Amino acid sequence: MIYLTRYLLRHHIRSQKYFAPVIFYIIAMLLIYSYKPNPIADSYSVTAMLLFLAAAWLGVMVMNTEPAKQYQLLVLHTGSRRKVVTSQLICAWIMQFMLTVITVLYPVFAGMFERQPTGEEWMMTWLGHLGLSLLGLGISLFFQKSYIPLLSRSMPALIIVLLLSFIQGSLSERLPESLQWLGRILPPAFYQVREMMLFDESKMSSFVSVTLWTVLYASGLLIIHVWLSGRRDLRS
Amino acid sequence: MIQLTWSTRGLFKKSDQATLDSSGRGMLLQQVSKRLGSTQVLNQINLEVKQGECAVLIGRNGSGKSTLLRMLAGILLPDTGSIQRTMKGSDGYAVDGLPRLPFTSGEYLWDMGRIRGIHPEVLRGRIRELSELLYLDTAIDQKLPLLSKGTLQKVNLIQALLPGPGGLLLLDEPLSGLDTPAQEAVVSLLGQWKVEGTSIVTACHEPLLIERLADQVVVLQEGRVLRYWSREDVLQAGEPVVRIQSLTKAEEDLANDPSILKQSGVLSLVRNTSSEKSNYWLWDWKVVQKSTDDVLRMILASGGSVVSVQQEESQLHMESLLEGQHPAVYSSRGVDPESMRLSPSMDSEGREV
Repeated sequence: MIYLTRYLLRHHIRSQKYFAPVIFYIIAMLLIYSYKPNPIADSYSVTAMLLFLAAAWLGVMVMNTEPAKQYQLLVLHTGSRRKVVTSQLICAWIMQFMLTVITVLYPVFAGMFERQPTGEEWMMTWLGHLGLSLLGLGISLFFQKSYIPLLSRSMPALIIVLLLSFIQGSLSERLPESLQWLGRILPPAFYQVREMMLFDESKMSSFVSVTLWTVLYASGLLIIHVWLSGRRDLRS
Repeated sequence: MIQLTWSTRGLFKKSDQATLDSSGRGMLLQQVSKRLGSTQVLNQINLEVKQGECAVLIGRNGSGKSTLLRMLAGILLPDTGSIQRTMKGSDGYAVDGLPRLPFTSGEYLWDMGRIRGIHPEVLRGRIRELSELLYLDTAIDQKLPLLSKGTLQKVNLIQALLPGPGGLLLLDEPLSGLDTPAQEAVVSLLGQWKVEGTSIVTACHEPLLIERLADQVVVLQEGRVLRYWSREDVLQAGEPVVRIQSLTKAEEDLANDPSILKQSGVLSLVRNTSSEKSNYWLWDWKVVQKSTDDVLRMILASGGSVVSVQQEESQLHMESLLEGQHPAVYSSRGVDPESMRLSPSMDSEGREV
């Protein structure tokens, strides 16, 4: 699987499909830090929200990199559909992890904050960014070509889901009692960002539980995708 | 005997039911059907390929050949029916049209081999041998997007052949785009691998491969098996077809000449209009070999002249095979009057008018 992951990563980089989401994200991040000093929790919560969007976009790109016939050959060569899917996830995760590292370390080393982050803030930052990027990846999986063949259909649908996951707080308030469950099944991006933004005021246990829910939610999506990939026709 | 069964639910499960031949090695499809969207692409397909056998799938576009190959490769799962496999060894699969990925041929083949888990030393040797065999030459260092269609097909075949002999080899139009020496090399290699126990299932319309390798020919039509022909049937194929070009004076319409219509052995006669401006008409004949002398005599006797006589290598008439006719339909019965095709003319690009 190491060779497979290495191949996928190299192909993705050479195909330059990462370019648009990564550039979008880095420019957006630089705009946020266009002046200084910045408040730590507020800045990181905004970059985490952007990373969530970029991770979803990047996830779709990584999953769609292999043409259908090459994907079929990879399954034949590895002998397992799930190995190929898992390697794709690792490949996407590596790229998102690199974005997370840049996001977390850039403002600190570039002196963009009013002070150095505390230990708790470091933990909040890493967990929040990694959790949200994992959530973005988990959502993106179901908008790749093997589920929705046309990009013109999958991308608008993905954008709607991403936006819904940001307004779920206000959505829950407006929905009638019988539809309150809708707010709960949406990806918990809104709650994660809110916890990061209000980190100074909220309790640590509250942040940890929301992060845990985010990671569990994302892991559930990843597991469902890996499970489904062994039971469906390959993209043709 | 323990078998692996790919049932309609798409899961491998163990079965102790012996349904293949006494040697027990091979692949067996029973009543396999597949629907893609609203189209029934495969319908109640039965197929048995024993270890060391070659099955050739033929059929017109959309008849289900590639879908059947994809199903054998495990890429598509059957809606109904079952696929049982009891052969050892790993699978190789040559797709119809390898994507042009941003790698050189060498990088690509190396990656595919390593992903398969082939030891670096062994892999290096195999890539070198297969590249030499298929005359890949300097293309090994060229990027895939820059390769010609034929060279890309060679890379495609090499990646399919990397696992070596012994398993199942699935080839979708393997000879498409290859030059004659490479075609010969591929067919010879597949012949050797067959002897070493490789089972081959291929969608192919090249008579060369059918004549030299096919143990069974499966004719598909609209997702159904129209005919199965055995090796014996293929060996009974008709005599070699001979192509003759002759010249007659302009306005002399051979296609409507009653004496020619009665002549046995003429498979087709079309006027080639590529030299339309001249005072002569050029005619393309296709005749069975045993009637060649008679036809030549007839041409000369009628005042025409012979431009060229060329024997086709194949003894198979693919068009009639696709229609479900026996491979030996021409040789065993002589010329089938219904299949004799006399066309008045052909345009400059070779299309019939």
